[in-house]
Amino acid sequence: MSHSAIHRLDVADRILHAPDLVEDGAWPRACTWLIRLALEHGLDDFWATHRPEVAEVSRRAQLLTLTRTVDSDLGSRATELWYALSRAAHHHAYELAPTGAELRTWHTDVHLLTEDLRSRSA
Amino acid sequence: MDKAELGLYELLIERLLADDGVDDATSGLVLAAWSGDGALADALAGRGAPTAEPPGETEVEHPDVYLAAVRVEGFRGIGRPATLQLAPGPGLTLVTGRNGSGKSSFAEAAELVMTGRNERWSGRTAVWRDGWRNLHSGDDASVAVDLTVAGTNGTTKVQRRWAPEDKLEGGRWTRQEPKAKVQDFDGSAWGASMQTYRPFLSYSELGALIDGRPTELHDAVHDLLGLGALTATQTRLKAARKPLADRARDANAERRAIRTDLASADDPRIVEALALLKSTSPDLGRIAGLLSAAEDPGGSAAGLRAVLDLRLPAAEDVRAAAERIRAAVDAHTAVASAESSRADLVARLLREALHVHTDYGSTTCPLCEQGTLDDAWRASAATRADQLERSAAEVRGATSELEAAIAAGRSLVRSLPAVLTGRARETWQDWVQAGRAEGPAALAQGLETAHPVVAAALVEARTESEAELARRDEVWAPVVRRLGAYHDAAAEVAAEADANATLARAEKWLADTATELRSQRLAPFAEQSQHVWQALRQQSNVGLGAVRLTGAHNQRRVAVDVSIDGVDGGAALGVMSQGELHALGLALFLPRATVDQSPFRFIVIDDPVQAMDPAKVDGLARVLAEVALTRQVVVFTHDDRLADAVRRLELPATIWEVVRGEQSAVEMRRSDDPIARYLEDAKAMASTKELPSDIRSELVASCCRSAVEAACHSKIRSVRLAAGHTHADVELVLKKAETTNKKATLAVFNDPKRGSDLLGRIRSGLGPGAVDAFQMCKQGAHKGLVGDLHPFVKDVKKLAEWLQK
Repeated sequence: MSHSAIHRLDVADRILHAPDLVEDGAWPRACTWLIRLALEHGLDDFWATHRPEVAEVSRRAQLLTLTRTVDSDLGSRATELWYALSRAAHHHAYELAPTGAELRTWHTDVHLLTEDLRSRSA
Repeated sequence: MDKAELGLYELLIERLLADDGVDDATSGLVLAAWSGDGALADALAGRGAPTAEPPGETEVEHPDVYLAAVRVEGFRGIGRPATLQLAPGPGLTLVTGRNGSGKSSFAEAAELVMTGRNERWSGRTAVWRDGWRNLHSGDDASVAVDLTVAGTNGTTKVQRRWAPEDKLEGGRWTRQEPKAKVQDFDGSAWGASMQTYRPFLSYSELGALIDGRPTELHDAVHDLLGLGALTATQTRLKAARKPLADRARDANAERRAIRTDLASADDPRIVEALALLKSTSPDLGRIAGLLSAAEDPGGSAAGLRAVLDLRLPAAEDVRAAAERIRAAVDAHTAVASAESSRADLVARLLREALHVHTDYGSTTCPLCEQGTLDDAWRASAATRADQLERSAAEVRGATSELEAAIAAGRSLVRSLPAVLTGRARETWQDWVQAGRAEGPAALAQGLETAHPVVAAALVEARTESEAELARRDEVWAPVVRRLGAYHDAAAEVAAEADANATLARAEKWLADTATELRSQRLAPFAEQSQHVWQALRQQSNVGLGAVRLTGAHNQRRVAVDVSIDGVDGGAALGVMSQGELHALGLALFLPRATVDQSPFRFIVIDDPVQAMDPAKVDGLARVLAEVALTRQVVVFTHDDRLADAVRRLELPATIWEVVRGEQSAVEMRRSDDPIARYLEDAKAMASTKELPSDIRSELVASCCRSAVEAACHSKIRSVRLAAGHTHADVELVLKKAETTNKKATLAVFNDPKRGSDLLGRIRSGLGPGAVDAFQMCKQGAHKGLVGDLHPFVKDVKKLAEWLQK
């Protein structure tokens, strides 16, 4: 697994267990960002190993490439996760801070996904 | 009488006074009926005139109640104790949180602890109700509200606490007034007010207000307008009149029944009675007269009964009397002779001669002047005189006995009774004649002959009389009884006819007036509904017309006239969208919950925006802000739309965000505008030493970028919506502007094509530091920042403010 990704997931896990680590109740956003960043780092590392030219294109294009050329199942999982995390992390209207349970699910999913990506890198 | 009823009472008096068609007796009864059963009974009995002064207004037990806090532990989505602090006073508070964040648990807890039940759960299955405990909580569960009551210091705490084994309906329900002991509470103190004004509205209830259980809303509106007192008055008048009307109806029905049942009777008394009963209000005096006279009309019944009383001497008495006469005749014949008839005279002559001899001694007989009255003569004369005297006494005895026997015989016969007719009369006359017969023998013979004949005739006559009497009784007696009962009932009806008529007038007047009074009372309510609907409808083509209370019994409901594109349609409700139905529900809920006399100065609404489109959400935000001028409005909502609308429209509000961590740990976070929130996030993360520095920089940059983008969104929305674009169009534009650069370009120039001018404009507007901050935001997530991040966050804050200008 990508070191950057696992690093961020570890921090997110710590915060999920002890939200008080982050001041002023900002923990749900912090975790969202961390999990999303973990996913992005996982993808970056994957492209760096396999197809460095893809690392330069937009994230959306990267996800499309993953689905079309690498593994459609892996790609669609990654796409779904990335959009969900972006929606939760970026400010869009009508969205509120995710709950601990949602974050835990994302955390687990991103963990499995980056693991999968890393195993293909090898 | 509460305020609503008092208002209605004043309207009622106004109308009574204004209506010339109402006499004093009628209005007296209406007012008495309003006051109660006792007053009405008094008025009907003529005791005490009902006062025109209304009874005093009764104190509402909980005036001006506000929520100060909702505390929840181990209940529904909330595990560890969590508190929602509220400012106790008018104002709008939004509590936002994603589905499952626990925000609804606060709403449900508040409702449950104040009402003892929750609308969303009632009627649900046991599985649903049993899931009320939080899975992550320890032992106890509790819900509580802190209330502040105008005019008292401190807060009143109402709490419900459950031990691990308690069911939802169980647990201990308590209330603690400021500086007082905790007391058990059963909610009854404000139960009625809760039902009438019901300050809680949940999402599921919102739709049901229109099509769910319409009777509940009807009853609530009915009560809050004080119409219950009006209905009670009508009910009292009706109840008071019913026995009178029933009696009148029954008496009349009986009158007609008597006429039908006896139509074929030929008894003259019955015929007369039927003639009297022809009138709908028969002459009761004459009926009474008929009833008493009918005891013996024309005396014929008395005659018949007199026949029964007639007596003849017994046959053996007659025989004995005849025998006695005959024996006396025989005895008299035996002693009576020519000599015996002179014996007295001769005896007296001899006694005189003996006197002469005694006085003068022997002398010549003075009668014959030949014989000599000497001692020898004296002896024979004395003997002879004795003999003659004895004989005379015997004759006298026989004569006397004969006369007595004759008299006894005659005395057996009584004169002819007038009541006798026919053969009985003839034979009785013969009997009388027999009694008058000359001579003892004829008398004895006559009596013995006539008696058996008259006796037989009399038995016959008596039998006939008896039969006739029985026949008459069979027809008449039941008629007498029935007519008598009718007479008494009709007399009672006649006595209370005035009261009945007055009651009927009072009832009719009130029935006629009640409809108008109801509309009059409903008018302000309907107006408010109209007002709310106007604010909520926005582009909806559905118009709201009159609001009415209609139907009776199980069909009663609040009816709303809706029109589509100005065309009235009863079916309009059917084509309304869910969002429109919810808006309509709110239009009915808000006037009810905020009516002036309600002691609850707060309303709690759970998720009103779910089905609403963005335009309606704007309308809702305005309506809520307006209500919040005089009421404490607490709204729970699962998304940010309402909060967004409130911020964009710059409506005063306090916004809380409920965030729920693992193990159902729920905390509240002040959530003002999203830009400030992101900047706070950034500051919080910048200060979080536990985070590795590279990750911290990454996070802070991400949050700052979000803050900048949020500022752009805010600017773009307000500019475009103000220019008349629809919400949908604006959201589409925002979606298309994918990058921070594009968003900022739109925000600054309102033109997506001027991206190349962006940095120059930022530099000229805020200086080079702002450009750096902007670039850091865009790249920071990938490049990272170093050192103290707080100055960077400050620069971003300035940038965000500038972008919104």
